[in-house]
Amino acid sequence: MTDKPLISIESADCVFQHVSGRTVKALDRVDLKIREGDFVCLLGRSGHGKSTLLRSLAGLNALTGGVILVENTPISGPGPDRGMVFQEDTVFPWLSVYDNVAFGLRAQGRPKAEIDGTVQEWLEAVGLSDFAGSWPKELSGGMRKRVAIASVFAGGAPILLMDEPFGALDYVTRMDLQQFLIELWQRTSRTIVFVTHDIEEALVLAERILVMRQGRIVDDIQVDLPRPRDEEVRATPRAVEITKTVIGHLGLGQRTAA
Amino acid sequence: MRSHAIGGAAETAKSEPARVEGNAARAWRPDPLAIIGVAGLILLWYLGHAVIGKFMPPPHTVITAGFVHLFDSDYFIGLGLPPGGYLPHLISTTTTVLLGVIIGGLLGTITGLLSARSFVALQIFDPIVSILGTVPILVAAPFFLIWFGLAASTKVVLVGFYTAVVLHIYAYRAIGHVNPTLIEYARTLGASERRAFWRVALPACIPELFGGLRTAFGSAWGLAAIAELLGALKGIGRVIIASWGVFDITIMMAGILWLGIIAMLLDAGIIALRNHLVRWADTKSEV
Repeated sequence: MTDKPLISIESADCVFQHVSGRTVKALDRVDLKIREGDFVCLLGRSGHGKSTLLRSLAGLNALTGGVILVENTPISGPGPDRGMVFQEDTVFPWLSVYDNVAFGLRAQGRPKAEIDGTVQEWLEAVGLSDFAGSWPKELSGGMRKRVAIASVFAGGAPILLMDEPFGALDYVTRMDLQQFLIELWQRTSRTIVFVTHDIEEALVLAERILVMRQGRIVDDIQVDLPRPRDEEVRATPRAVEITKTVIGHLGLGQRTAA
Repeated sequence: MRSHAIGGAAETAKSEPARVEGNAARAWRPDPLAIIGVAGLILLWYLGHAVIGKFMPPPHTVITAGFVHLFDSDYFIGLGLPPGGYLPHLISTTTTVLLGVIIGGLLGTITGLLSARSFVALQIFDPIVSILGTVPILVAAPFFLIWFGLAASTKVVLVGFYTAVVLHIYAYRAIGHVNPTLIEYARTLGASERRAFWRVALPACIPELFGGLRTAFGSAWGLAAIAELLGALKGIGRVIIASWGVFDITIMMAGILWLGIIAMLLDAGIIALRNHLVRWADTKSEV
């Protein structure tokens, strides 16, 4: 991990014109630097700008002000240096598991031998080697999410953006994939920006939690907890303190963390 | 480790064709409900014959006539039809439908996809399709006959024209139905806009395009027959209008029966093709 910021967001504004004519500030002068190799969780309630910020980072959403720099270069549109895992099931149903994982590499015009090696490696990493020739419809929701993760990792993007990727999965599958994602992150030292509204998920995953409210980043918390972040670690005084702070920001200050 | 992974992939690939064959075998097992349906239809036909009499000939008479006049028929020559029985007419109508649907379908799909991609194309094609697509065939056909004559190409142009309209609308709508997140996902994987269109939007459209193709095919038989009724040298429509002139209902019905059988077989072919091309989709009964 270096101290040089990989991502620099400078006074980012995003103003939407609502159908009623009312203007909505989805992003309100956001300043943010993210170091290489960090695992950042954007935490906040629905409609407070988390997804807008992430989509702007991906280049899928145009800012109305400010600039986003990746390695000191302003981004313009989506690119292979920033992969994204969506909440929705985005695995291409007409491609086999193998071809799904190869999609990004082929789009980038990599040589065939390299594609084959990388795809095998990532299928192995997500435990789906035996399903290389299967159609996505033959897999469970959790397995399809693994395919999406493998596809994005295989694409080689140093920055991985995740928009509530486990939101639609059941509790056990979600915990399973969280653990799995942490392992991949530790092994590959990619930079991950992960959007969630689930405090527990942020506690399990993040090195750094950014709390968003009304389009602003209202707190920036270093999660200095040991890994793995199991139930016991999440019950330590420091973890409870972080939880309380976050809940306070989200507008539920009267209630205790338990 | 890697060699193990490759072995696993090869194994899965090997088991794949077996599974597909299994599906095909299941698709060809006769459906008991379909048998009941056909039997009911034949029964109704006999009933119709009992009530109406000689102007509603029974199935066996019609089927016999269909085979007697299939390859060669002096009776047809007597009606002023070219020699050779039903066969040249069936070939003519089928060729018309196939050519019309293929050419028109391709054109319509291209204009529909173009309109979905480019605003300029939409502005050009949309009024053409809205205005011309609503002209009834009985109104349009005489114009085509005057412009292109009695040649076989007139029928093809007519069928192709209406097919193009149908496929244009289906293709344009299908692109609109593509999940935008899939396109965004492709873009973040490094696909250009162009690649995202060809590799994501287009395959996502295939099930819906097949729906359009079947709709177009279904009406194409009618369009071809109407074009032949209004004026053609060959075709089942020509046989029907010639036998109508002498009130030979049996010959008319046998012609329709042959056409129906060919249409059904081709439709089954389209379904088989669709089931193969869209074998990745969750359901097969969508279209």
